[in-house]
Amino acid sequence: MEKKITRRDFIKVTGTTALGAAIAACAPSTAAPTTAPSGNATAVPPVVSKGKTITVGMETGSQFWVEFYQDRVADFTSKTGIEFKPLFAPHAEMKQRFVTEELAGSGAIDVYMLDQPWVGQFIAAKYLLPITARVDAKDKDDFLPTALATNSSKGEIYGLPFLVHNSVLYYRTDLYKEAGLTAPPKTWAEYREYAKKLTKPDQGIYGAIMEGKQGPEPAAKYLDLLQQAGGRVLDDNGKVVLNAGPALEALRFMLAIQYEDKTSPPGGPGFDNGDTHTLFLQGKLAQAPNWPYMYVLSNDPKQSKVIGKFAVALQPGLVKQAAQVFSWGWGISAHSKNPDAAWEFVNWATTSDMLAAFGKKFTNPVPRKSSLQALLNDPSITKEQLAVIQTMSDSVAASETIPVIPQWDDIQTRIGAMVSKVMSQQATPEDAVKEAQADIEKIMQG
Amino acid sequence: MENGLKTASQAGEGTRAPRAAATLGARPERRIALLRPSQHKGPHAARSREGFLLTLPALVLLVISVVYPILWALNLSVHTFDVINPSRSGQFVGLANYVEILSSSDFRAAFLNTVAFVTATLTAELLIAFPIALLLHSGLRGTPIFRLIFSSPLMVAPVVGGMLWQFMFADQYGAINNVLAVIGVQGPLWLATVWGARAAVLIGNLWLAVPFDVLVLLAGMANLPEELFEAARIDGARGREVFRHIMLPLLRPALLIILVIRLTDAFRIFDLIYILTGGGPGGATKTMSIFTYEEIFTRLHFAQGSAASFIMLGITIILSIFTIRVMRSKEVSA
Repeated sequence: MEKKITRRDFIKVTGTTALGAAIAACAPSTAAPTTAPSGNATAVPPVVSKGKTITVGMETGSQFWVEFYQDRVADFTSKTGIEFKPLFAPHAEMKQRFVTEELAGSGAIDVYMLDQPWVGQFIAAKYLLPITARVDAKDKDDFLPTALATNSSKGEIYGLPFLVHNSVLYYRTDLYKEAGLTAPPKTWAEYREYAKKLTKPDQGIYGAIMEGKQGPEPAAKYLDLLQQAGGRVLDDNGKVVLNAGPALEALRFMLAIQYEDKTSPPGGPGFDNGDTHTLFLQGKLAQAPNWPYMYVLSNDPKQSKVIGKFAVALQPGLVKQAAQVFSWGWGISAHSKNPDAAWEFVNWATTSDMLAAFGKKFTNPVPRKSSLQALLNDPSITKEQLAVIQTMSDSVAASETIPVIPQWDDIQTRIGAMVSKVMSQQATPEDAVKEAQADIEKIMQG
Repeated sequence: MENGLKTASQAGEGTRAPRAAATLGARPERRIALLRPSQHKGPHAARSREGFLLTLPALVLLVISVVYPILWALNLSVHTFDVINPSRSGQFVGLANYVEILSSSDFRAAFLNTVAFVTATLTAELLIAFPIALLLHSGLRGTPIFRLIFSSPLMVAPVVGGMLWQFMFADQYGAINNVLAVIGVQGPLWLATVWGARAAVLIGNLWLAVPFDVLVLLAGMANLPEELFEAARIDGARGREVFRHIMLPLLRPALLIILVIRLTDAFRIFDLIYILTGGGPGGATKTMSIFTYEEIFTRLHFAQGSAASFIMLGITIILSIFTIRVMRSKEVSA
């Protein structure tokens, strides 16, 4: 006997599935703002924001920057009378959370911690308040031009950076000595040769690492190689130029290290920067390109086996020694109900003293000239740490940053898929670049 | 015995009315009538009204928090929505967003990955959950502790589960391959190869999902009438026959719950895969949820993302209805 679906069954099923779809859809609850609150065309007079509370959206989980600011925020409140309320989100959820807030237009978050790949999109969607008029002329001169450019569009500043960095080469000095190597490699050819000499699979030590997991981090590492090969994704006019030679050179270099030389751990195609730092800290990598944050981790006795056994240098190159520059900054929500108080925070969080302290604590390149000078004059900073900061700053100075355009996040996601496909040997470099070129052209067309 | 089987399984979720009807050997029509108190005047109608009023606040909240956003998203899926050029938003485009999504090769690949994942996980979950539930139901010493251990993954958020398994599956420093190395086996490159990554996702998901299946099966087993098993044993039925002809048909309501809930859950799997593989390598583990997420939050294509969500919803509803029909028709013919 056939039994028909009752209304009750239908409601049960649709209820359960609708909930799932609602979560998947993550639908915004209100329409996008048609216009954003306008920025100040002229200099903003001082406004008393005492007694106001600002909510600051920050990353949590993988970085310790949050602790840096939280440890000092009492100073901000005592100076300005503005209360600070943090709102935490893991890196993978930050953009989703901030976009949802902007679509809702509630102004629930006043200040955003900004990761550069989304900045172009946030600017184009009018999620950020222009702050050009609020930034002091002296400060504009003091920030490195590249640093300000990472949070600017069409001459307008939308955020101030607290960290402008790129990946540098970490190498094991003790293993170099054992292998008879005296200086870090400057070319790709030297890097391959060094890696061969340093690889000891029986001891679980590899001379190089090629990250190939599908995601934004390995995509960033690929962009390093692309820049080293003299290539770009887009030219100055926004034309997609991935199919020029350097993109293929970079992929072939990755494949050669992974599969020909076998100097990268076999699991490389499934790795990202987290795996790189885990392996380096365990002493299993002799050379590894990674972000400045790994320097502090590598000197942490609680987790590192390589303290005093490593140094930092510029990444080697084919055409030039460079790596893709990215920034982290602070920007004000276009819907903030306390834009003046929010600006007070952004200004305080990016002062010269603050960024010098930041650079000193985390051994990062610093985005202000005066902060670098302060570090150079600081007697408490070690020569070694200073040399590392100088190397990291040189690396940034020798490199290009990503374009601040609304399509960038999508483009980087597509690059990540291309790298993963090639590294897992599902496509040849030629086919993968051809497909990616076509897809990125579509992305740019909108 | 066959009569007893039929009535016990038809008792469904164990309400008193169908059980009473079953005991009386009532005809199906009579039993359905007993299940409709609202058709009667007097105390039944008053109880219905009371029940409705008591659930009204929850229903209103449900409408506000679930139904309204769904209707909003449905409306969004048939309009344009451009966050960068708001003037281009709000134009009715009919099914254009649906056509765009369905004609995308990325979506079709994600759909096939999802279907393969759902089929594999549901099959594996039941194959693993049944023996565990039978073991825990047997009343052996120490089963309460094992019940607790088996339930613990239910308390772990999928995103945490993803991070945990990422460390477990990692080449070089991951626990799994290191344990395998101790016994002389070279572990696969879990996250670096297409099938390794798919297997890793499946295993991680089984760890998170099997405890739910086990608990539902245990609840179902706890409600089984012991007299049927005694009768079967007296009639000379052996263990396998008892399982196949008595326990399995009686557990159909529990299986239905598992299939419908896990089907919808598996279809919208996101966190575990996003953390573990990012949808890679080369899109090999990219499911419809990850496609939808990228459409909405990477590209800010909200209208197309909403259309993708409703396509997912439609597929899930159809499959759920199909599952209910198949299970119920078997129940009736049993």
